[in-house]
Amino acid sequence: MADDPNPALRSELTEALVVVAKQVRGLTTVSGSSISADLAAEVVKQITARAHRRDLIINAIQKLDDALRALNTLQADGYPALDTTPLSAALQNELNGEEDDLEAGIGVFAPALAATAKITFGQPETTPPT
Amino acid sequence: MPVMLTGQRVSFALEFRLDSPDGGVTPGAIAQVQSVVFSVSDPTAIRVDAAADGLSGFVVAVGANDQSEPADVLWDADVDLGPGVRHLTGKNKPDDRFVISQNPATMASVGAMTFGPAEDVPVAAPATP
Repeated sequence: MADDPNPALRSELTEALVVVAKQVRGLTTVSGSSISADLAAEVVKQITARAHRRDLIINAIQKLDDALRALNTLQADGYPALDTTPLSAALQNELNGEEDDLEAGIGVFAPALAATAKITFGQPETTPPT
Repeated sequence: MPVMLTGQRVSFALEFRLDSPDGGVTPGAIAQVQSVVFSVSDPTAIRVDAAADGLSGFVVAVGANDQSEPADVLWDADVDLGPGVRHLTGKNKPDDRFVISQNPATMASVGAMTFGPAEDVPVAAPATP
């Protein structure tokens, strides 16, 4: 089982979700009570904004869940190990031949590299006695 | 062109910067030098006293040379260019060739002339017939 990739962020998002979800419920209750049309309009506007925020938080938490599931799948595949694979002698010889050819081909080329040298001199001074 | 008197010296610093025409390394980055050996074109005029880092030190004037044949500092280095080590040789720019003059204060002998008091110039005796 993989570790949560960011437990601190998950905790922060969960707490934020509790707050905003409660606000949405409260605003929804207010909107159903006997209030003026102007107030109702403001309340509905806030319900829409807070619900949008709530949905974004839920989406972020779901992405954390997705990351955790992906890590679990990766570990189930043996990550981080990448074991070598046994090969029969015949197949290994064939592969070695390919490797030799590859090295011969690569050896045709040399990297085009160079360096620029620069020497700078100071001002004349008296040579101290040795 | 640097001019030094015998008994003087100048500091120097040598650096190698990568120059890759097709990428692969960071052009302009300082190249690591594995070894460097300095020499001079005229050992009677100058010598190189390299510091422990091998890339700096002093060029020391040891003797006067002919102004028409200034002395050069040369180097022979193994430089790490990233994918491989290259053997590089070089020398100072033509403008940095060294002319060394004799320091008057250290000349081996000093000429001195002294004068006596004024006196009459003797008249030549008439020639005998």
